[in-house]
Amino acid sequence: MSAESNDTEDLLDRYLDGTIEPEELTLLDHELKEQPALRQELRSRIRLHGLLSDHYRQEDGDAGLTAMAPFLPLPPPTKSRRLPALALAAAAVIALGLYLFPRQGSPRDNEMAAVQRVANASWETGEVVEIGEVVSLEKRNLVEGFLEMEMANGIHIAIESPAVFQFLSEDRLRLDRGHLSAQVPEGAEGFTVVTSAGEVIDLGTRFGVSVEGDAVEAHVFEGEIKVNSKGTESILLEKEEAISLGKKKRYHSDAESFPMPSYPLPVALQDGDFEIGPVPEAGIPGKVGHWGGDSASFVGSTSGITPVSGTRMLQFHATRDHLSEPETGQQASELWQLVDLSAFSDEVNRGGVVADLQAAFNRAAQSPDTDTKFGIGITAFRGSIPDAAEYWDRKREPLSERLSQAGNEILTDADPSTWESAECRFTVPRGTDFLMIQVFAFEDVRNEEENEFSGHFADAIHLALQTEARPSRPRAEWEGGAGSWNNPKNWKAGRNPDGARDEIFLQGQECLVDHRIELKQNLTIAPHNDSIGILRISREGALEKSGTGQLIVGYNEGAIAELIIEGRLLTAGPVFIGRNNRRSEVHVNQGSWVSREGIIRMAQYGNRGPDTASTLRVSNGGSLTAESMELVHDLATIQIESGGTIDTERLRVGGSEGAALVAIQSGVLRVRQLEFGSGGTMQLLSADAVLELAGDWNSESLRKVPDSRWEWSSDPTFESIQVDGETWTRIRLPR
Amino acid sequence: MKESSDHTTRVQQYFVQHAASVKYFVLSLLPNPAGAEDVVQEVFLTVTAKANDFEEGTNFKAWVFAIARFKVLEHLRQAKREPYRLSEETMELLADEAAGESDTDDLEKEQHLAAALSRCLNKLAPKSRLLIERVYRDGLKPGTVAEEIGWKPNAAYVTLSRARATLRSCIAKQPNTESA
Repeated sequence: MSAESNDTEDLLDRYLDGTIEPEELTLLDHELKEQPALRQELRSRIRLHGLLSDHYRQEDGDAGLTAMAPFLPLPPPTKSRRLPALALAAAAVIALGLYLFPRQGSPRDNEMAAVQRVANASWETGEVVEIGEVVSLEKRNLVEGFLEMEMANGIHIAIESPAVFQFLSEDRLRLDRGHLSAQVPEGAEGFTVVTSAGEVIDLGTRFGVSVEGDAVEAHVFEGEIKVNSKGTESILLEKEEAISLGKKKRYHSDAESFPMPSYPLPVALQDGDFEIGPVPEAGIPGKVGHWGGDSASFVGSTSGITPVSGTRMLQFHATRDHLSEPETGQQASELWQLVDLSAFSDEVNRGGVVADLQAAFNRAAQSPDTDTKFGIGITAFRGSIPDAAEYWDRKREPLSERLSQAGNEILTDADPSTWESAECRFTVPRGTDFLMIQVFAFEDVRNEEENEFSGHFADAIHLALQTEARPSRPRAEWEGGAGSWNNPKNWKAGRNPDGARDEIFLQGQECLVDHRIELKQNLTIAPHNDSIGILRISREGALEKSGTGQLIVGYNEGAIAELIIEGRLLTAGPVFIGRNNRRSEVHVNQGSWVSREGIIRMAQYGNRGPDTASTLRVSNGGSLTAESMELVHDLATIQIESGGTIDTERLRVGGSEGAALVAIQSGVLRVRQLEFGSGGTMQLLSADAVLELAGDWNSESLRKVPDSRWEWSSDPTFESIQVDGETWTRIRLPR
Repeated sequence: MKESSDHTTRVQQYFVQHAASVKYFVLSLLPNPAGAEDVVQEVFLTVTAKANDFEEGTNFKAWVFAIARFKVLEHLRQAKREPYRLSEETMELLADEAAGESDTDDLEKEQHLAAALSRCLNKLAPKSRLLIERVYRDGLKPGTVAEEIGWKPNAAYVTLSRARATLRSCIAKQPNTESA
């Protein structure tokens, strides 16, 4: 082959690839004009060029392109899909009819994903990312914020700044920098994240990939992935495993350090189609997995009504457990099923889990007396499932186990051939342990029929739960040895926390703050089951929580937490002293604590086993200034000793039960608005104990505060004082 | 009216019969597959709209290629890619030669070629195959792929050229794929 022909062939290929320069094209064009053989060569190469692009386009299964497939009757690549040429042509012509109308945009618009959710996100160009915005094949540089995208094939991707990425195709995404997670639904397996260090291939899963400089990590949160690092063999990675590409050692995946797209929780109703049985037991069930409630049965087609799914459906009979019982005056025939969420406490307690409940209803035509109203409901409870019936009975009491409730009602038509559907969307509150799903038929038309419901049906009850997309929560964990916050060796990652970004977890031996620290995110002392955590702010130290993150002193079963304030503490978000845990103690000893724009809540969830206690002690001239304080449940105690001061705009003592106590031994408690729940007690224990309340008070009016209980050794004195032009009352015991 | 719509359907059928030829002709003037696909669709719409202009018994391919040339020019103008087009003269030569090719049904031949391509792709060396995939499946320029996998751009061009040559000669050796 001569050098010249080589050059010309090179030009031909560059022409195909679109990398030819205009001057070169002029040259090629001239050669093509002159040489019939070169034109022949061009046509031969174009043929392969066309075959190749068709080959991959068909493999892609791209929706827009699939729509094009009948238009270009290209031979399918596999034998099984082969059709005789004529049939194919005929089918194509029929399909072609559809294309006589103008197209809605080109199928080659390269639209890869649409933004579903954003938080303060903007591109490098300065443009703010908006919901519904389309992300196409070009390279994107996210300089700020968090976003979630959804692809046409149902893949959800969450990504946060700083990040540089580019969709290469419907199932390939290149990540040059940043953290992302993908939730890949069934049918879209094979989604691949391409990085400089290799490829991460989904095998039906939820996974994260991070690129920071040369360091590339893959983390599996659910399912499996395949990791093809450059220069090494493929590695299969399973749930909760993580790996650095190019390295062998596996470690535990860390979902918190990745942004997370929304994903479904594997929760479903048992026998929502009423196919299996058994027939519902009377009353609210004491366990999960089956229906219970008023008199009802599972039946096949009847009264001209056919089940909407399967061969059977639910028939309501009465507003009582059994038809033999007398009429109760209840207004509805109800069925319940409990759904345990305890396996998903991480998701639930993070907040934003959404439940969607659907049901179909139908009724016999009958007379104008026939009841027409049906309904569905979801109620969230904390507590234990066997006690569900008890919780239900006292659901209207303050501070009951019922956290929230939603429902929907519909009126059905008189046409037995159509089913009417009811839907209900519900945000599952944090702290929910289980859901109660309710299906009911109302007795909205009163009559004297013996059978209260004579042809009322429900079927196809479906429940689906989904999490909300969220940004990452990078965390710093105290490793366990005693020492200074400032020593990077004390932290798990071997570096000091980033106060603006990191959520802080402290467990193990005492962590000492002996200088000024600023934090924006959550700080949890003793975060895990049975953990112990101690934080001491020394006289020289100051901890300033400027963000809205929470301070949690003790979280989860059995945890024991201690916070000692000898220096300064400033909190701007909510503070929980005792939350699901065993023992929590905060001691303001000489130091000062200012809590603004947030509530201080003690003993959030009450008694959690032996020694449960939440204590706040202010002593030795220490002071606490707060906006709002609540001693929610039993065993919450505030002690003011040896000259401590608490100054709060609002204080609520006691919840529904137990022994919430405020004991002033020596020092001052200043409260603008004082409230009591049942079971709250206020003690003045010596002549050095002072209680100051806004307004005019005396012995009698104090006792009239609803639910209040007062304990003092002798009758107190009441002194009217002026504070910034307001009248307050100073209450103390005589010397 | 009925006659006219019957005629339109027949013209559409001719188009389908020769769709592969149309596609290859458009690609030879506009090698970008995505652009070519848009143009082919435009051609079909025009063919349908102007079906009555086509006279039975004349060369269908010559008629449709004339429309295709016009649509390619229109596309390049809109995409501001005119410096990247062949001269009218060359386009005409290509059209004449393609229209003059044996007038048999394209469809079956296309099926055989596609099947042959699938078999031949499996025989490519892994790196060549990767390159082909990145270019044809993911729509990347060879230079971009080179950067991605740490090659010099030239190496990617050479590898791609060789891979194409390998595929062409492999396909030619497969049954029922006598070259056009």
